[in-house]
Amino acid sequence: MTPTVCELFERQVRDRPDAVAVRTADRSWTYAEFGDLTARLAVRLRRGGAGPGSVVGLIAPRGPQALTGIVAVLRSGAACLPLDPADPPLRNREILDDTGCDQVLVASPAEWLPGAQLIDDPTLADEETGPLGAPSPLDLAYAITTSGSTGRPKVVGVPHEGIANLMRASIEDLDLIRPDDVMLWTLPVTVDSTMHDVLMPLCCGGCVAVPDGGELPATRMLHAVRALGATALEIPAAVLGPYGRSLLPRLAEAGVRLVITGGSQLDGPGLADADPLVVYNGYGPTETSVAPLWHRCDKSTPRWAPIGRPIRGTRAYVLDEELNPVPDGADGQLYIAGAGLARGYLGLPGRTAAVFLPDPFGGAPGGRMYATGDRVRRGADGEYVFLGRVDDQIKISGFRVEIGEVEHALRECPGVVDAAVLPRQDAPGGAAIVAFLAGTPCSDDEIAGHLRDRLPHHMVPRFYVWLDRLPLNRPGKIDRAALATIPFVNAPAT
Amino acid sequence: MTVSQEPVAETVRLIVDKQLNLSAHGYEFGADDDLWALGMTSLTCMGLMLAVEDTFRIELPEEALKEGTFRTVGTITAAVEAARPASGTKV
Repeated sequence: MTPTVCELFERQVRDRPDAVAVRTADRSWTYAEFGDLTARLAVRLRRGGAGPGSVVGLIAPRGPQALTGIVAVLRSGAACLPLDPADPPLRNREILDDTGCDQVLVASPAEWLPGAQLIDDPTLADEETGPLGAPSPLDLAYAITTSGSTGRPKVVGVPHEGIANLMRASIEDLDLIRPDDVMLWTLPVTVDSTMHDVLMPLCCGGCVAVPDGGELPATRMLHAVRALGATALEIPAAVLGPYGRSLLPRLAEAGVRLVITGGSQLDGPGLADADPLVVYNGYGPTETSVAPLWHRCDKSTPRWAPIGRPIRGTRAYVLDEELNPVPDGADGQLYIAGAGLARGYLGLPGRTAAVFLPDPFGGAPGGRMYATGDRVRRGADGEYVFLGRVDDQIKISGFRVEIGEVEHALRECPGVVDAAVLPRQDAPGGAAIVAFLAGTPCSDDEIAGHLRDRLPHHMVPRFYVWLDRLPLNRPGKIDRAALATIPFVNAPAT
Repeated sequence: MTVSQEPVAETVRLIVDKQLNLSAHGYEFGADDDLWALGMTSLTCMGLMLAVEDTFRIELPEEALKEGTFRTVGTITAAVEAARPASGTKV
């Protein structure tokens, strides 16, 4: 049976206690030290009731504390639910309540969370170590919040089995991590790729390098790589596509051997021009354990990079609307089956059943397949290529945004009668979410203020355009094609 | 020999306009206009930084990599001037 990430980490603690597990600009922790630190916090959580079957919240910015929190929650046996401290407390509170989180770990005290456990609590030093959680493969490892089309977020619960399968493929098949790698942690705590990026080194004896916080972290990536001796890092496709040609040679020169990318369609030149640096493009919705498909970029990789092929233990089907397989080269919706499947959306059985369908193609009866909502084509070479969405979900900086959730929040703002939201690649300043509104105009600040109480910052529109009424097409629906070209010269950014 | 500051400022202005897609929308901006207020995101700021570094063949020091440095054409120009070799080598 595939070992869990807890078992793999604990094996490293035993086998190489003096190797560096975590590094910042200021200090480092050996496997023995990080093992001890996370064990004490895990024991504290267990005394509070955490264990297999429960969910523990984690509200901390990227940093050594957040990493301690993730590993401690996993070792307690509970599932880790990371939330962004910058998101509205109202939204975070709702998610904690909906998922039945009794315990929450925080990096610093928060007024709205009186009972939270401080990760750096000095009294943890007195905590006696005891038996840890030992979760089984079907227990949840983590839970990730995604945008929901009906106005409420959905929380995806992923079992140990899924992340364990990905770890095994990453280490044994894809060469995404080696024991002598130093992996720079670049993504937000709240995205599932963080679980992959930070747990992968800890499962094979490598080192996680945590950059300092502060303004414009992406621009300081190269400096962080040099300061921490990083050999691998993840760069979102939204950054790597347009800027890879300029960035990759500099990273290669600084000693980086591997760049992992993903989060949205990878579209850009020069991805194989920084030899010996290799770019690996991962594809997968959170519902399928980070990334069940991977493409290794080489000289033949086109600008519009393929999303690759399935890893061990997982299957990918391209099906038509009747769920019949389409031939290679034809378009269809991508369905994922096998070891990586999430348990579903916590507390939402109906929404889970709507997209986790019976798998008629797997050998074993009773299996499920996940309908990704992505239109793809499988080429003769076995590589899958992303073509677009079957619905109106969009990606902004790699974050999934359901248009419906933003429009729902806009219609609840005073003065707004109707609202339509569109991504505009051509917006001043760069790609942006734009809100087209009808009703009694009020200031952008006023609307944005209302939204910031409800939505995470990446979902708040950057431009607001008031119209006498929203344009309709023949069937009486909002004419999004017309909105896609409306100029908004006089709409200042907020 | 020192290079006058004007050509640097003008080159910076062109890079900013291309990266941020401003004049295409009819936006006019001067040396002191706040680019963050005009819609610059952290992503497009990254592109702006790389384009500036590639064009002038410089590397901005880590302490310059903050929001204030990229706020206006004027502040970017000053950062470029400061990062260029002291000998005044022409680019």
